[in-house]
Amino acid sequence: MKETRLGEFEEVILLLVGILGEEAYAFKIAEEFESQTGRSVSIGAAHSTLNRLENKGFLTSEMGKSTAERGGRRKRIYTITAYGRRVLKESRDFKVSLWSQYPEFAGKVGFNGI
Amino acid sequence: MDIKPPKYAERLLLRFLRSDLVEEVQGDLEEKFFSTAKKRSEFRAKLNYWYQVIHYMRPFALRKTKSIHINNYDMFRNYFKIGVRNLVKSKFFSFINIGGMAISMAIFFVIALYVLDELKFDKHIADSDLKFRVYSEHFNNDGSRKKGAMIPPMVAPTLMAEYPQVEYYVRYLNFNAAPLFEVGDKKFTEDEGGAADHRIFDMFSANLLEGDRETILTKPNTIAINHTLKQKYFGDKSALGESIEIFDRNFEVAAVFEDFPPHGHFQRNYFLALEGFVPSERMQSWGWNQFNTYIKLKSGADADDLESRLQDFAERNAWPRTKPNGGYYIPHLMSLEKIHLYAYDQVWDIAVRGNIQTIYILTGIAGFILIIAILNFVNLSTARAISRVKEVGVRKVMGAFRTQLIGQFMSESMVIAFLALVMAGVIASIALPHLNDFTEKRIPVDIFINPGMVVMLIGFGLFTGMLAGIYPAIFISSYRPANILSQKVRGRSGKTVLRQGLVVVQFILSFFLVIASFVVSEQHTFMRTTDMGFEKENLLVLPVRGDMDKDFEVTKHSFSDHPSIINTTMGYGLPGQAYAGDGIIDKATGKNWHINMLAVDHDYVKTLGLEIIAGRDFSKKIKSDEPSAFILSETAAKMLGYSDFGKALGHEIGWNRWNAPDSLKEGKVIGIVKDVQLNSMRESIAPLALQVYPVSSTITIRTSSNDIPATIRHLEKTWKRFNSEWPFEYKFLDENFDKMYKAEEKLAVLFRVFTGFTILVACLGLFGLVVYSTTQRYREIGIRKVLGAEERHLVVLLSMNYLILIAIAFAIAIPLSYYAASQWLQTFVFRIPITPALFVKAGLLIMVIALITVGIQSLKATRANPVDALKEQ
Repeated sequence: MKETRLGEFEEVILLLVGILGEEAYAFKIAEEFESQTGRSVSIGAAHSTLNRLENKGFLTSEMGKSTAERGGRRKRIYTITAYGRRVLKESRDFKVSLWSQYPEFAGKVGFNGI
Repeated sequence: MDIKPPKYAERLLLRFLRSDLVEEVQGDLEEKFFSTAKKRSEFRAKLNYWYQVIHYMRPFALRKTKSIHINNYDMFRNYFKIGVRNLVKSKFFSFINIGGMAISMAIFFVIALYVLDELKFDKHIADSDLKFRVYSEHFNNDGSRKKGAMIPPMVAPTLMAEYPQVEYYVRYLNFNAAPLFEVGDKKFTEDEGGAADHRIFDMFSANLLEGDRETILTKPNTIAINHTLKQKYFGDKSALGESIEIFDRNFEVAAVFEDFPPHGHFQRNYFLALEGFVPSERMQSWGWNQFNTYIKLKSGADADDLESRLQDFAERNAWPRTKPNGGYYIPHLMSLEKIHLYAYDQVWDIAVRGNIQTIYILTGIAGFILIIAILNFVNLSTARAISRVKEVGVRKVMGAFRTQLIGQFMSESMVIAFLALVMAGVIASIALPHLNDFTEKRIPVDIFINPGMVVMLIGFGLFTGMLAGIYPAIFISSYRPANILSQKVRGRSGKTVLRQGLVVVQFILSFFLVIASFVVSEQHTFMRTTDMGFEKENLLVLPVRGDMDKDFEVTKHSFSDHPSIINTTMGYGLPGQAYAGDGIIDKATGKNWHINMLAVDHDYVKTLGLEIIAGRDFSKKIKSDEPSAFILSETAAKMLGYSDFGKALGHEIGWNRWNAPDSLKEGKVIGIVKDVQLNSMRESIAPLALQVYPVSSTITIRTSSNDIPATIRHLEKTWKRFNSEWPFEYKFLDENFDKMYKAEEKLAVLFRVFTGFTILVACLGLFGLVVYSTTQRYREIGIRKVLGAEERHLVVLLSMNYLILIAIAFAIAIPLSYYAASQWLQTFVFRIPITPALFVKAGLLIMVIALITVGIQSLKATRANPVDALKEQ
């Protein structure tokens, strides 16, 4: 966590990209974020974060195929890179190690793998 | 497809969005739009689309704009660089421009703040457009007239009964002598209070902290006090129902009100219930001018209509009762908001007074000085245009449009204006606390950093910059490049006629201000020093309190028992203090005359130093003096028809006694005194009668001026013998007069200061011009010297032009300032004559200053070695 400097919002977005797979483009990610967290987010904010994560090398993206919906416009589909996956894992491990040092919760709360 | 994303939002998006993102983003937003439209509504979808578009304004998504505007950017950078270089290159002219403008702006700000503060008065009062003070215009039998702020008690109730448009009224009876308040062992005299009708708090929109608004002051022997008084007497606990002893009676505190805000003309600390305070037969009077009276009209009522009926109203109700006593009056309405500034000519007023004339004068000065600074800028810039000629030529050849050049020079003047603005802000914030002290205002210094003010200041800076810059910009940009660059024409330094015209305007304004400031301060000196018919120095006045009125002789004797006390007198009626407007009956004709009556003792004339011009003073040796003798003033004798005062002696007059109104005191005139001005010199001298009569409100003591502190210690010791309850109080009589002239004094000082600065700024400009024109004529001077011209001739040659301009300005300024001065002096009954000497003085002052300004520079130029000037070519 320390060396990767992944923010909470970034981490969630990164996870959502992983969850959505083939459907991971800005609009869907923003929708998913809202439905998963109950917090509203603008597409622009999601897009901006995706862009940043891509610059850091956690994501790659390419334009999808043109379809009949949305006026024939293509989508930019994001995929997690190996580096991004490692960063997520490190982030999780770091938190788990923190949790295990927290006496009240130690052993009671666990994280399941991605 | 019926519904579409909002067109303008899409357009906006395309305007700023990086082109490589357009496809995906538009797609995403459209998907969002249709999904929202399906789930919620079309309207929500459109709203959301806007929201999404605006949220796309993020650095990563923005189109990079620099590449498109890069040329313009460099151009502006170049303008700025050249502008700064020019400022730095000619430090002297920059200093004159910026410094002069900063001084003028600072004065402008300070005056603007003062004026705005004055205009704020009574704006906090609700429905102030429906609220009026009823004042009256008095016409006396001797033909004199005056406006008074106080009217008799019957006017307002009768108005309300006769005219339904009057909703309610408030009458207020001021206590001229501060009564003693006693609460337990706390005893203080409290001024700034009186008795009032119960709706006074509605009239002045005052907030009640304690007490019931409906019933307040309706019951006799109740009092409403302000928060400050409550804290003083009762501390933090509630004061409701507590009692205060005043006039040996107990008054129950019925309400506590918030202190009146400072921006109100009516500032009082407490109100007793008028109900039951004055005997009800006294309240039936149509002649007892003692009440500040306010009325509130119903909404929609026409105040002008009511005003037009007031003469008829007075004719029917008041005149039959007052005319036999020597006068009549017509009530008028004055809007509450106007009282502070417009009631300056009303006598007997307790309002916090300003003067609209002062406002006009100050606004005029502010405008003048700003104009002068702007003209300086215009003058210097057009004069120095020649130094920018080559630049303009090159720019034009390179393809600059004229509008661009105008823009360039305008932006330079904006830079100067804003530099000056910042300096002015600093100067003004330094000056403001001093101005506050001086004018007794409380304008906060942090006013300059409130956002509204900042916006206004920036607007002001733009405006000034534009005003100053527009002409020079148009002028400089008008050169034809071919002429300039071919060296055939060296470029002119602006139209000389225009520049000279501007110098004339500047000096007209300077002359005007100097003359005005002379008039104001001379009038002030005149009023303070003119003979008022008595000697006002070294007179101490003490109120008669406690046991002091038991036996006048004993009191007087005890107080005068000190070596430095020369004379002592007791009585009712003192110049600058209180005196009674009264009437006498001329026994010969049976006619009533309005006259001011002084009830005095045998020592009054001696103590005050009145001058007897016919007959004699009252004398204790002549027993008939007390029951049947009067002394009249010159004006009173003239009123009775005597121009030879000796003949007035022995004239019989009658007077209704104050303590027994039906018994007539009859007597003869035994003496005539020189006229005495009882009030400020703004007013005409009123007829006056003196008589020995046992009523006393003050004891007046003439002391020799040595060791005043010891005298006062003696007075205090004596005071304590007569009453232990009242705190010792005294004042010098001339303090009262100084107070009357305070407004003029302050105006005079402000005038002097501002005029000084105006001349400074005007001369700065003049100096700049002279410096410039002498450098232009550098070679000419050199050649003339080589050919044998003498220094003094050269100085004359160089200065003459300017002196002629100043002389023209002077000639134009004389009639203007004469008119203005005579208008201003109209408000004074006793005024200085406007003499030629006044103009000569002002003319000499400015001529000398201008001569020094011009002369120094000319001399410097002629002293230069001609070789230096000529070897260049």
